Amino acid sequence: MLWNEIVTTVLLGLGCVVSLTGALGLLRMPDFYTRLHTAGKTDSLGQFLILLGLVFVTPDLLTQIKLVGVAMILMIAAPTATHAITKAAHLNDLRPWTKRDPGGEP
Amino acid sequence: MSWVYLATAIALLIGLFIILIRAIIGPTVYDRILATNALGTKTILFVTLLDYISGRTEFIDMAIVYALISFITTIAILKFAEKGRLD
Amino acid sequence: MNAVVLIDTLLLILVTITAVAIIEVRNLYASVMLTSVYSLLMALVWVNMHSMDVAFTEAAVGGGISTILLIGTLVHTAREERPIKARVHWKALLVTAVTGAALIYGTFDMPRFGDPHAPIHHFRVPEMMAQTVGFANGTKGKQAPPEGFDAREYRSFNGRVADIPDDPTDTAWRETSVLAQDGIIVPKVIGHAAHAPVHDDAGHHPHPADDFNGHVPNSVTSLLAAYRGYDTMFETTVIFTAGISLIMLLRRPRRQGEAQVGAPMVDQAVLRVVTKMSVPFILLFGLYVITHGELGPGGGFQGGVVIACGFILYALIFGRAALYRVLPPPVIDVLTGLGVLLYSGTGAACLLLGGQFLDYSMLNRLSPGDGESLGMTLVEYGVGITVSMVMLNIFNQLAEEQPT
Repeated sequence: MLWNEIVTTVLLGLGCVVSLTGALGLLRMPDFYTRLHTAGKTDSLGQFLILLGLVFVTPDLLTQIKLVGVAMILMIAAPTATHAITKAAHLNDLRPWTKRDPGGEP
Repeated sequence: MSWVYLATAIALLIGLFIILIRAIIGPTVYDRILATNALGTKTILFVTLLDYISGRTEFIDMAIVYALISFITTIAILKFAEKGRLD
Repeated sequence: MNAVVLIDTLLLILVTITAVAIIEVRNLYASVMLTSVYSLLMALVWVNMHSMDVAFTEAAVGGGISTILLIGTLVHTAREERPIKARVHWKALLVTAVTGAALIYGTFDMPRFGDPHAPIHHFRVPEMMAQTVGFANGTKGKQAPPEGFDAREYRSFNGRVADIPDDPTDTAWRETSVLAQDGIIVPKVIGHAAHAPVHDDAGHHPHPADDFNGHVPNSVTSLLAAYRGYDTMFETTVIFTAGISLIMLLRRPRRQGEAQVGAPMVDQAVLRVVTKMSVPFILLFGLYVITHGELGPGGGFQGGVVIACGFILYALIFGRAALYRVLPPPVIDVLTGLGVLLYSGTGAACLLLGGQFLDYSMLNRLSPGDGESLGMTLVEYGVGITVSMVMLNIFNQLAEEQPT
């Protein structure tokens, strides 16, 4: 394989691992705020890695610029949405799960 | 090279499935909003990957539109959850 | 089993799970969010089938506008669905089963999925496909025709249907394309215009008139706006009628001095700054989608919905009063009609210039292909203006009602 295909494979693999871990954490974590950690952070990082990895195998320049543009838009929009969700949950008195609470949501 | 794209697409589909479970069973409403937001991002990545699997390069406009639309939908859902009206 | 079928199967399983969940979940808020998820997944199914314009519209309308309007409706209803006793309604089940069976029986007569021998591929599509294929109508194009290609033979359709052998175990006919069996080679489709626009100032066009001079490689847009221009005009009129009926049903005359009570989210600094950065970009991108609809996926409907979403984002964060300062309701009403006027006005202009109604080639005498391309751009703008203003109107009406 050429060098750009190796770079793309590595970046795509990393992006997949990050996204799958985030999705798994969204399922397994006990409380909303812990799920927010996994989903919000891995979301922003995984999309950046995957889109950056696809830049190296694109034949023409315009598509490369558009891919970087999409990555930048998502880099601004995804953390903003996560921030807005957290603020809404906090302002509506959703309390985090502490060690004293029994169990926790499955 | 196409097996890399196919493997990534299958991994993203598995991620979509897991997030969908959380969107259905999430006990509080904010779990569901979080899951919908994450589903939107994974959809954008999936659209871009399908572009490379098929070999054409005109799907990028759709990825940009998805990104903006899912952002606006999340803001609208949050505004309703916070203020109770869509003003 | 290739990649397309595998991904299609997995996506359809996800879509079925979502659809069952929409019905079963009691909380109406969750149902609305799952509806938006359903629209996104269906758009992925269309992308997998390479139908980009449909996927574009499904994502923008289903995932964006439809969800926002459903939430606007949710303001006036309860949060939870009242539990009903589960019992089977036998008459409804029978009617639904009979109708579904009749529809499935009706699809047996349709041509096979992707069959190059289907009547549509011989009657009108070669002219539209000439944008990307080039040599099918005689122009030189960017690719040479394959060996033994005869353009007249390719375009003549004498009512043949695929000769399927009676023996069900004889499946060799599925491996090769039907046209290749008959000695007619199927040209490969390239993803962009087969030739750059050709302008000749001698007054004679060097390419056939149906070619649109290479300006419109997107066959979907050329079919919608030129071949079925009447249908698209009436669709735009239908959307305009929906806007008018909404005004007649829901709009109440505003009394003097009634303040615009709203709940803007201006106090959240992060959202305010990000919205200020994004709204100009969203509006500009909507205009880009409308104008680029001839060259790639896009068009009037999709771009209009994106523009409406940009204005809705502004209204969500800064309040409806701020939106009314930017776009007063009388201006929205006037612009709604202006879009339909632009569409039918283009048709009338072609009529006045000596051709038939909506015959765009009259717009440019020297080169009819350029006239067709100009006409299509104008009507796409008409569609975009009407769609965006009607969507904004619906949002304003739903947001104006006092929550019950």
